Amino acid sequence: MKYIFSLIILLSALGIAHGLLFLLDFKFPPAVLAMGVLLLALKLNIVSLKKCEVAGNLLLKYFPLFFIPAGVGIIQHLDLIKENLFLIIFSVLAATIGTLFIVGKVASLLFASNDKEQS
Amino acid sequence: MSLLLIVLSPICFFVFKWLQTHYLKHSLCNPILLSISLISLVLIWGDISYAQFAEVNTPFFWLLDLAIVALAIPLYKESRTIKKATWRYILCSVIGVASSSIIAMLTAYSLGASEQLVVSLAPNAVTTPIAIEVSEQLAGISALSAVVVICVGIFGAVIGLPLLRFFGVKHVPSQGLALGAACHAVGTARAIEVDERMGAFASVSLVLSAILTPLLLPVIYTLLSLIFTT
Repeated sequence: MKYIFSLIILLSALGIAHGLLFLLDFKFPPAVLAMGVLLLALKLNIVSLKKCEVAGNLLLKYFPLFFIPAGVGIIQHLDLIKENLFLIIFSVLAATIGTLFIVGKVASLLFASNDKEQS
Repeated sequence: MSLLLIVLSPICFFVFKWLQTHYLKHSLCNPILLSISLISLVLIWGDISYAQFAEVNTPFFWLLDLAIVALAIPLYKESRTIKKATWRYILCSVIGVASSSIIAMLTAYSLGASEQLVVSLAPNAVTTPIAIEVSEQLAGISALSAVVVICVGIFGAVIGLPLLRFFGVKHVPSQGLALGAACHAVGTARAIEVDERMGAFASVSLVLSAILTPLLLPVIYTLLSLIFTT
């Protein structure tokens, strides 16, 4: 029963998000908007964390399992990947190394000064 | 046949997960990537179309949506811990989202990638389910984004920390924020392993980029494609 109630909360958030996007005629991932809706509901104490957590934590625990079927979709695009393998690896490596460097440096700058202020 | 196709993902996932926790502890042996590879091989060898596989596995796509909604739970918990200096975290995350997507898109564009490929590579630093959603929204190949994201995470988990030290980033919270921003959940898992405090900062970065990526990426993509098409 607890699980069903918890699932209903999550489903309602999804329903509200779909409704909003339909009414506003706006393109945005519905599940992400629903996450925002639920966050707002938690912040405003409309729903309690405890009730969401019953089904929520179970879903979060097995999260990776749910995107395996989506990932298998890669087999439809093997030719495209073969043709662009170098391009894909190079762009993504550059992005990852660049992001590590930039965020690492910026965060050091922002937070190291903060630590000094406190001490 | 349908029954076999629907149990394939859970069986692979739990077996590889079990193997990873007991024997193959290295980050390279990622259970998701191994499952995707094995199932792909099974489908190719068995001459089964992806459309057929996806149709049978529809419940997983619903659960994926529901699990994204459930991400509000860790987000809510983190939002209580980052009350202090919220703007600094948000700024870091905005910079992370912008740099990961802009560098990937610029490199891909300049190497002559198609529009569809560029979009698929753009969400490379955000957690997989969000990358799938964003890529789909922008007419990219969501499966490619998913695989790219997982590979980025594994790469980051293996080489992220040594690289950060090499760059001279020695401040532990900053290392965590960078790992979360560039290498999402896999990087965060690695950060938690090394240092609990680093892990906490990595998960803040992870959840913030999960909200900011779908908001910022369409804008960044539109601006960049305007520059490159004119």
